[in-house]
Amino acid sequence: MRRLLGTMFLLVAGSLIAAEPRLTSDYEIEIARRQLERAGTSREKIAPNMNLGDIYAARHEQEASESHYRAALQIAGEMVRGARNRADMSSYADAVTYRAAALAKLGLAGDARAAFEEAIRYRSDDPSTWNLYASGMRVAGLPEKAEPAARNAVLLAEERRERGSRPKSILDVAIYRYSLASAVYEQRRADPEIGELLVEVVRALDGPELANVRKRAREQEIFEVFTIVRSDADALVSLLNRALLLLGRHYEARGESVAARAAWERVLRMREDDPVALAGLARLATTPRETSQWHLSSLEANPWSIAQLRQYEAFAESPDAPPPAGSSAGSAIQRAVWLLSRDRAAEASAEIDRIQMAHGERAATIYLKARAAIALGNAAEAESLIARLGDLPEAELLRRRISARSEALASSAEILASLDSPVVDPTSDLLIGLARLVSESRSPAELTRIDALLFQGIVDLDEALIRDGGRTVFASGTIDGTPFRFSSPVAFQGDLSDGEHRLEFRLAGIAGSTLLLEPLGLTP
Amino acid sequence: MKRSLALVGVFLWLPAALVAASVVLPAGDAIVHAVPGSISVLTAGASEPTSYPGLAYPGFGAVARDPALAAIFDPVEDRLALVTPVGFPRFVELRDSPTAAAFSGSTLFVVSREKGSLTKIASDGERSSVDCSGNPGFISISDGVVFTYDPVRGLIERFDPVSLQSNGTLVIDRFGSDFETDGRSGYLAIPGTGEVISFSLSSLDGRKAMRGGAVPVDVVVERSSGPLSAGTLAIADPASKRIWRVEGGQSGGAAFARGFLRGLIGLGLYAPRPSELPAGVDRIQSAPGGLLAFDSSSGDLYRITSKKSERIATGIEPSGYAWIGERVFYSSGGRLHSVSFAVEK
Repeated sequence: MRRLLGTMFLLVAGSLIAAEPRLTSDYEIEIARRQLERAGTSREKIAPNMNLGDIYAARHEQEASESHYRAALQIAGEMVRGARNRADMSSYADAVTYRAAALAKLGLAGDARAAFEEAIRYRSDDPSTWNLYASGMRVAGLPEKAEPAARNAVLLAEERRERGSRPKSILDVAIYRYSLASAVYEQRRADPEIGELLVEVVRALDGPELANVRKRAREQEIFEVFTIVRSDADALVSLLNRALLLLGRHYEARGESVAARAAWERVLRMREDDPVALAGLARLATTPRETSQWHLSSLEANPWSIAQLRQYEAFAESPDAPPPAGSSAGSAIQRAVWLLSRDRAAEASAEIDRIQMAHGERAATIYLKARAAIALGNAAEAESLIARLGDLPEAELLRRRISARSEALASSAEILASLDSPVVDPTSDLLIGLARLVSESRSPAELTRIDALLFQGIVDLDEALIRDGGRTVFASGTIDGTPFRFSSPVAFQGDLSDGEHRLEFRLAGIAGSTLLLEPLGLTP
Repeated sequence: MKRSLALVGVFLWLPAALVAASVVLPAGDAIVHAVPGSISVLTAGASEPTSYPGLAYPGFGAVARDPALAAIFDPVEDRLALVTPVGFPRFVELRDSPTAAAFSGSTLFVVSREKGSLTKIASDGERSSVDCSGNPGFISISDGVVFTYDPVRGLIERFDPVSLQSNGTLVIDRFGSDFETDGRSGYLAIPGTGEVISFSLSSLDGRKAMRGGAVPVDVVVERSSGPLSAGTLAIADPASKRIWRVEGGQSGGAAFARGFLRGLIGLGLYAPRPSELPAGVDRIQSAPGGLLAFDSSSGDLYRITSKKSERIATGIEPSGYAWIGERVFYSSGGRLHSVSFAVEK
């Protein structure tokens, strides 16, 4: 059977790269579009379509991504029929493999598996077909089925390499080992086999046999990590980047911070704005300022990556996270997340609007808008935004947030019905729950009832704004550890000390995490 | 006697929908039809099937003749459904991803290429598994003995059906696309070399290679050996758009005795004829009324008799058809259809 490894190689590399969050640039899209325009044959059209599908998927542009995968699927289907009409079984096996890869990208795991099984009826001797099978199963979310296919790819490629160690066969073995390491990582992140495989990959890519390929990469100043590569030099650069990124994550999972940092720092020496390496270094940073700075660098490198945004989100919750400054898209995103984590949803929403005005709407901004809408109690707007996130995992996360919030509201409404005025020594949880009900309840009866409720509790007043002997003016304080403020500074009769007093008040609402109280009287 | 093709019935079992996977199998004289999420059983004489919840992705199946039993496998979620003509299907969670399966009586044997295991599931549900020497992709049972084939390593392994102990291996041609047995010999279709390889099941040696066309992909024992002829193999060769027929393995003594007997009664030497088709077929299935041949690229299904070949359905799935009695049942668009072959005198 005639082998078409050249073409297959493109998809092999494409699949391996698709496993990592990646930088996608308009430049990359432009290159792939030009490839598509220049493509004359069906076979030439497959690669750029898959490439564009991957690029748009990485940018969370589902519709555009699926349309390119579907185009690849349709072309592959035509190739399948054409090859069989010509009784060209080698081309048939290729076409079935392309079809399987497109099905996997579309998330049709069962159909993809059946198509890969059809391909290996003809190509069980071909490591690239096994590797594509493995990649397809990983893309389809079935790493346990990817691993044995990847092992077959490595086994067969090593046999080929033993018959002659040309740069191409060395590169092939490295690609298949990376693919196997990825499949294992997705199941057992700390498995030592991952480190062994990836160290071998890096060693092979650094080895003397590939010196000429490295030289070509340097001469051509290749630094972009493409989804589908077109030359050995492209493949070497992309593979080294991906292998080091995965090695860093593996070491991180094993708690080997020094080794993880070394892997990511090497990535940054090759490409200083690699967002995944930057995010990795952020996770390993030891001070809040350093962590924030690495996150900022990562978000500046790829402001539209929800994965990276969410990594910063986790850090932003920490009280030590410093307020972000700067005017780049990355720092604006960081600021919006930081504001959301401090219950300053209105300010966050305004920040997101500014980002969208400047850079257009992205999945990342839709996600943040939805978070702000939830925080502001606008469930309908949040639902409509979430629907636009399609099947991204973040959509489900946001739905859970809405549901948790409405459960909390329902619980507060139930508690409200059971309260008698005055409520003495309310807890901060009760006050926050009722205050949110003030902001979000659509029931006039509930609002009237909250308005009528009197509360009496011990408050810790902040320093008086004015103290003139006859009266003392206070603006804010804490109750049961939760900050509150009055809608405007209030003058109380007498010369009152700062600190603890019993306050009688009504609940006016909540701004961020600060309760709004309407004071009625103060006793020492 | 001439057979004519007549479309006699179309059963609307499920709402019209695009269904990706389907399996059609006989269970005795009932027909089992599995599509994603549903299993339907049509018993003989019934006008409507009985439907049950099914598998998410029915991929392939295996059939036991006695007792009437069909096993349908979901290789994505690693489950199987055991279906009898009457009663609710029994679902079994598998520990390993199923690749191929075969019954011996009512005992089911399943291989997992991904885990390199062989699992035995008895009719009472008791299960046992062993690790295979390789990662088998095929299984065949001959006279109750279990044989597996790992195409990547080129390894045949024989297992005792009771103890599941491995009791023999044979390193043989790699990269086969099908493995069959006929009681005496094992056969491998090797697309890359254009050969069909046979070997002795009893001694696990005696490798012989025969031409199987340009790209032999599937092989089936079309006729078992008898006193006047060796068994006949049918070989699907999609590259030459033919089904080749060759004589199966036979010992030297048996070949001599058959030749002597045929000469004695004036029959001459037996030379099986190939079937030519309008398109290349890559899957074949033997049935008492002839062969069913399938083109995976188009989903076209052909019926092959000794005299002609006819296309009887199009756009169907590789596991979505079965020949029972005088009817071929097939799944298309989520519905079960049937074609019967009325006999003209």
